[in-house]
Amino acid sequence: MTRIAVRVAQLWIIPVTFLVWELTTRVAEAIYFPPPSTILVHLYEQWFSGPLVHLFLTQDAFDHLLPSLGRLILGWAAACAVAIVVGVTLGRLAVLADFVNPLIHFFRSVPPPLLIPIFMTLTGVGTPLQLAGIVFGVVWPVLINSLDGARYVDRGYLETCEVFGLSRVQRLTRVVLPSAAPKIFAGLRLSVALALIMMIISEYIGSTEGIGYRMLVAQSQVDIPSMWTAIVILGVLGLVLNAAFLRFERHVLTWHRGARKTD
Amino acid sequence: MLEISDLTHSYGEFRALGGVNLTVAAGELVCIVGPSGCGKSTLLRSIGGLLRPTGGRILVQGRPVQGTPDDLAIVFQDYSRSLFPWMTVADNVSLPLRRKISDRKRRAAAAREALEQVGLPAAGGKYPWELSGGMQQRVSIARALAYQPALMLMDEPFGSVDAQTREDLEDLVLQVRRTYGMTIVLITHDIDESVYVGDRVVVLSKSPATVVGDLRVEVPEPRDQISTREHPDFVHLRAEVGRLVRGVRSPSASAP
Repeated sequence: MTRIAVRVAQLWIIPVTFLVWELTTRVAEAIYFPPPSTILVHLYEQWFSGPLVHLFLTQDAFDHLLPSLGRLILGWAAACAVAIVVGVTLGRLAVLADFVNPLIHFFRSVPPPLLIPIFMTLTGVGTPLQLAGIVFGVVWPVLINSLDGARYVDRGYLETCEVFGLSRVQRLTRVVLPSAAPKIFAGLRLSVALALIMMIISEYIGSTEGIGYRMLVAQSQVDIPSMWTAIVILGVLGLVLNAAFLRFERHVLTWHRGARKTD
Repeated sequence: MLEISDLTHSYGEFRALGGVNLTVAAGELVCIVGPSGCGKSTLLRSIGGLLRPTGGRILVQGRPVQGTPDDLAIVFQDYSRSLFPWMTVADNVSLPLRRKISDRKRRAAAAREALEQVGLPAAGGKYPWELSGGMQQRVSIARALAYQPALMLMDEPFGSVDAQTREDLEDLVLQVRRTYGMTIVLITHDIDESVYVGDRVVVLSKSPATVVGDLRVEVPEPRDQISTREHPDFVHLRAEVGRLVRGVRSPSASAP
């Protein structure tokens, strides 16, 4: 009962914000800040008023929303896969890790948007550039967290592996990876947000399609509602991805939450 | 079963072991006691192959120790760092068996049997952190039992549980030892425990540790938490061990 009440209380914030925003913008009548109702109507018309066979997606959505999403997911997944493999490997090879550590921190410190023009000289304009941008943005936090997680496995766990003669493969898959999983997941969650940012920036700079590009066009045409719909879409996308990710993480790391609660 | 000769170990300047000599016969349950920080754990870790001693020789079943010997298991004091929290109790017990038993069903059966032996027949599907400390240590013991080692090392196995649980676990060790007939070396700082559980009590001195006493425990069997502990032989022996641990000479020896 109380849990339902809490849920309802949490949801209250949405209509209240909406209402305050609506009233403020209507009273202020600022051109650059259209009321949310206008944005929502525009959002529907621009992206989701398509025919049923297209699942209500409009041509705009096919041209811009889907390519962005596809690149986001592909880039993120590829970067995470590489980062986890490299990170865990380095984590288990402490000497090598110390050796390449300065390089990792050098590249991690470079703001990825700055590199997009450089990537452009290699990839040209288009999907490869977006992928390169997303991968470069995502790879570092995941790599560093995986490295850390795999490197600092509790000595008690490793000695147990040693005593009971677990094979190298068993030690990696049954002990090192699960033990590093909480850290790896922390990196992954961070990287979802970064992937979203890099998706937009890379489309802003070098693309002829995508949400970022669509936003750029809207800007140049002073199409204020279109700009706002893109902002709302990005916000919702971030929210949905984060929620989905949290669900997945909870499922995989049940043991971690349970073990911490009893400590 | 186990032969240790002139074992020494130093951590930098600090000499933990100063030449330990010890022989354990097959089927014996030997308790090693000594003052805190005397190098008991160093000794056990050397036997278990987790630490390469600076000098001396350790033979387990006639073979020098290099890495953990195949038929040796350890029950660690800190069960929370030794049981994997991401695996169920049954998986924790059966994971080490993969090397020995290839058939999955037989592995599960072996794990079940070991859990029954330690009095946890229904805990297999749970996670370690869902159990109390004493129960978790029982799982550690079950894991070691299922592994069927010739030599089982126990490092302060009951140091992290309350007194009542401690007594239950002591009786559990006596019981599994009767059932499985394995050789056990148990390290403890608790003098009463060493006398209650052991066939033999080996006393180490302060570091650098050497063996200063090696006493055979002769109390009526079967042992029992109440009557054994009040038996004159037990009382006498624990006093003897207590003096050795504290480095005090016994009154009979000091009399002219």
